[in-house]
Amino acid sequence: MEDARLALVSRIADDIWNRGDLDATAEVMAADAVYHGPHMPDGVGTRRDWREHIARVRAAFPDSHVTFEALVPCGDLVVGRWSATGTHTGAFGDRSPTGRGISIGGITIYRLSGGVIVEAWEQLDLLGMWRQLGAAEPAGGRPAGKRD
Amino acid sequence: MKRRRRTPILAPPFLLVVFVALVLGCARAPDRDTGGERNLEVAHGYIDAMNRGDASELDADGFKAMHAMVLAAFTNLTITADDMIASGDEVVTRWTLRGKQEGPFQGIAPTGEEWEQADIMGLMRQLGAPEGPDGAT
Repeated sequence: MEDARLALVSRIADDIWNRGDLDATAEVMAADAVYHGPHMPDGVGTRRDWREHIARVRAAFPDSHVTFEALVPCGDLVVGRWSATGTHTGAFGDRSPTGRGISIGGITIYRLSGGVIVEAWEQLDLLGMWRQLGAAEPAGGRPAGKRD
Repeated sequence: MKRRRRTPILAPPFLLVVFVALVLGCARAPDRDTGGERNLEVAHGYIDAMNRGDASELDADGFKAMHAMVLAAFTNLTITADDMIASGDEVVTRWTLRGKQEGPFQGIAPTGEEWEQADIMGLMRQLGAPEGPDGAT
């Protein structure tokens, strides 16, 4: 019988990302969950922020597909190493569709309690994503300077 | 990208997965109490080597090259293990890297600025590289 922890986390790829069932975000994650990640406002967000992030990405990449390459359970934690692909056919922020296909990877550590996710720490290859979209080429000769 | 005050920092690029020898079950050691778990000790040793600025102790050439590049660009580098999980033949470390850029990095001249952030994209932004179109992710 499959580990319930793994079954829960697998729904993020199978149901939410790949089938587009965004309502399932409320089934796998607690309302007051804390989501840490560079794609969250100020680096930390809520379940609602997570859902909005997924909706935004799926609007820009309607064929978004997420695969957990590995799921490692340990006590109340599940570590997911994942890959994601998608084709940029919708507007993404103020960036018009490029038609480009992208592929990135990431790792998320989920903390579970009461059968749902209550905290997550995520890092993903955002720089790789923008590069594949033809944006955000790193520095290369651009004058250094601080940003405020 | 907001700039936060405080200690010298760089950017904790990504989660680090270290592959080591086989163990059964799983264990956590966010602090240094590994309970003698061999793989956690190996992973802590790896972080210790980085904090000593000694990339030569690392085995894999790719890691060694990347870390040598980071060590050349940033001073006062410290890596903190925020969490560490060993399971099977893998150890997952959630970590934070702090440092001050005093050498060129990826074509960016030293800023001497101190920053804190938690990802590579954030790092490049902090060092003055272009953002994505609207900063959206």
